[in-house]
This record gives sequence, structure tokens and C-alpha cells, in this order.
Amino acid sequence: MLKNRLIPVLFLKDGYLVRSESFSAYQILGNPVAQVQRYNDWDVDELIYIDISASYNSRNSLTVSPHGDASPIAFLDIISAVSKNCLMPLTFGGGITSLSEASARFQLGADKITINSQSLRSPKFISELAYEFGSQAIVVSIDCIKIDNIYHIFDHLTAAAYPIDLYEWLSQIQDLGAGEILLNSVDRDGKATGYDLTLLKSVVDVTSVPVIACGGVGHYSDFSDAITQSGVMAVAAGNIFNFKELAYPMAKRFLKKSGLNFR
Amino acid sequence: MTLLVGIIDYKISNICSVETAFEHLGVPCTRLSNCDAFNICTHLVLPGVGSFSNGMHKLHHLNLVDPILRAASAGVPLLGMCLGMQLLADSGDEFGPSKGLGLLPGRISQVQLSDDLRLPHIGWNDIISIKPSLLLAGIPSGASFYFIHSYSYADSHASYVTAVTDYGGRQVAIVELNNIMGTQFHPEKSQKHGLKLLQNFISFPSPIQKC
Repeated sequence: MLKNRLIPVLFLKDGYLVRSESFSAYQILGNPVAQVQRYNDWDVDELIYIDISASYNSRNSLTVSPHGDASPIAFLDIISAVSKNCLMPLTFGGGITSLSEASARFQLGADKITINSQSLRSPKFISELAYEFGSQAIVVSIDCIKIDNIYHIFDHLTAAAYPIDLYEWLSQIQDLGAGEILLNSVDRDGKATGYDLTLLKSVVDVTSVPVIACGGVGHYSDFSDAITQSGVMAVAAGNIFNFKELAYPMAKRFLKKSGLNFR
Repeated sequence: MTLLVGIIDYKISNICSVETAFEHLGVPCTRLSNCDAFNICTHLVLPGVGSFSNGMHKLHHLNLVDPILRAASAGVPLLGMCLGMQLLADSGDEFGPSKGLGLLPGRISQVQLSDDLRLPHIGWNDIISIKPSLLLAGIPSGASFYFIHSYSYADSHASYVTAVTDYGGRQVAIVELNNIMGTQFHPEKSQKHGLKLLQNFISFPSPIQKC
């Protein structure tokens, strides 16, 4: 039987691993590849790396350190370093706007890529990617923000709600060939108050591709709540894995002890 | 026997990950993007990410079909992974019907689900051994491997199917017919069990003596 997946998400900014809150405040945590060997030792189910750098330069050719401490690393070099060490499924995303940028990530070892802003501006980009690399390799990432009790899609390029209905968008991206959905919540990001279960369930109910939950985990029980109450296939988190020693193996143990179907 | 694993590079696959896995095993490998070096490789791997029709198109475009068929008929062990495993079949339906390599009788079609399950089939799933398997030697029954696909071999009862997995019914996981082998999952992404399976593959005797 297919197992549920527990997935660390690593957010990168200008070559550093960062902690994010509400998609607006960032704290530098350090070297993004330092942890890679431990993920291998823990038999992590899958890893997602998302580069939230604003500029093309820092993503592709970063050489100087703006902060003077540990050297930042260009995103493509990070992909290469991670895939050379990790025998596990890897998803990379952030700022992908063309087939050639996607191709570079697959060539360096990505199994899947995740796209966000570019898919909103050019929905047919999803089908071009799906034809070239297969739907199974295309994760469409959606960040939701709740305004007046209605879920909207948060657009990073304008830092505002994008003028398209969330549920209309979900139907569109599946028709275009999205293979999986990474669903994040701006309101819960970095808050450690648990996933927005209402949001998760409403998305799971209207989709037929796997959904990965992200955003808001503060306790291991948040993972199990999402699996049992919303029907997501996979649960992801960032901060809890960065700040708590051995959080990954401990979370796995908790979930298996709760009788859930994890590896 | 000195080993040299040839990884068929048809510009569609996650070739780095496959190389990384063999590096972990300490086995030398080389990329094959034309017919030149096929005859010095003791073992061949056909990786793959993408669609059946695009995969066959690229193999033809790079003139790789003939060298693969020649090596296969000479008895060189060949392992297809994911899409690479599907391309071993006679034909596939993805993005319209197309002809495969024809090394295994069978057709690749969309996974038929009997339950209310989602496609693609993504994640770690247990495999069930149904016939003696060289690839599974020393791997405990019920071990899980990483699957990521929406299409698969239509007939899970074919004679060459040695292991299956359960996803809304019985899905083909491993095929083995003499020197022609394939896994629907990604051994190169399946940590210790994946490495063991690749080790088993390279222990298959090859008619090629590397110079």
C-alpha cells in the first residue's frame, strides 16, 4: 500500500537556508547543504528546495557573500551538491520561467520541479512542461491567503492576491497537466499553529492529483491531523525540521506510533 | 570481470541521479549518447523521465535504437528504469500510440484504478515478489521503493513480471526476461534497497569483457 510522505521543505534566499514567516520576514539559518548527509542517514522520504531569491543573478551565478559569514552558494550548485549526496526524490523550485531553466534542474538531478508565479502568468507553461518532462515531474505550488474568509491565491511578484478564483485555478492546472499540488498557507507560514485544515480539505475534495500540505506545523500531531482530517497524501514543513534537533526521525516515529501508514 | 555500466543518455532522463547511485556502489559508468561506446559496456541502463512517445522519439533521433537492440540480442544485461522500463515494451499509449523497443511483449497504458485513488502514483510503495527474481536477491519482502508514474504495463499476469505493487489493484513493479530487466520504480532514488537492487543487476553475467 502506498505510504504517506513526510517532506522537509528548505527555503533558500540568496544562497542561504532561511526561516520564513508570512512570506515576508526571513532569518538566515546557514549553509543549505550542511544537513544533506543527515537526511540520507534518516532515510528521508523526499526533499523540496525552494529558492525565494528575488533576482536571477543570485539564483544562477552567486559568487559574493552579502553577509560576510558562511559563503552563499548559487542555486544550481546547491541542486548539484544535494543530488550528488541524496539518493532520495528531490524537488526544486523557485523562479523557473522557461523550459531550459527546468531542463537544467532535471539534468542536475531534480526528479520534480515546482512552479508558481510563472504558471499564473502563463498557464500553458504547465502543459509545455508536462509534455516535455511528464506530468509526474510537474508540481504546481499554490500559496493561499485568506481575506474576508475567502481563500485567494497569493502572488509573490505583486505580494497581493492574484485575480483568479482558487477552485477555478485548481481545475485549470489539472487539465493542463499538473502532476501534484504543493499547497501552502501565507497566514500559517512560520506561525507553528498547525495546518489550515479547512483549506487543505477543500482542495483535496476537488482535485484528483496528490496534494502536499505545507505551512504552519508546530507539533508532530499537526502532521497526523492533516493526514486523517484532510486526505492529503503528503505532509511537508520547513521550520520544525530546522529548529528541532532530530525532528525528522522523531516525527516519523510519532506518526508510525499513531498507526499511520508511513515508511 | 571488470565492470563498465553504460547509461544511455537520450537527453530526457535524470542521468546525474543514476550516475550518483553507481558511484555509491563504486562501479564505473559512462554516458552513451551515440553508438560508439556500446560495445565496451558490460551492463546497460536505460533511465527515463517523461512520456513514452517523447522518449521513443528521442531514442530514434539520436540513433540509439539499433545499438540497444543489438546489445540486447547479444545478451548484454539491460536495466530499464521507470520510463526506460516502459520503453522495453512493444507499444505505449501516452500522448497517442507509439511503438516501443519491442524487447518485451506488452503494452503500456494508463494505470487503471479500482478505488478512489489519485494519479500519478507518487511515493513509497511495498513490492510483492511473485516469481523468483535476480534483482530482488537479498532484499526483504515488503521493502518499499519510490514510484512516480501514471502509466504502466497493462498485463500484470505476463510471464516476465516478477514483482508487483498494490495501488488500486495489482500494478507491475519489476520485469525480468533473461538479460532484459526493468523496474517501474526508481532504484536510484530508493536508498539502501535501491542500491542493493542495482548491485544485483551488475552481478548479472555479461558476454562483454571490458578491455
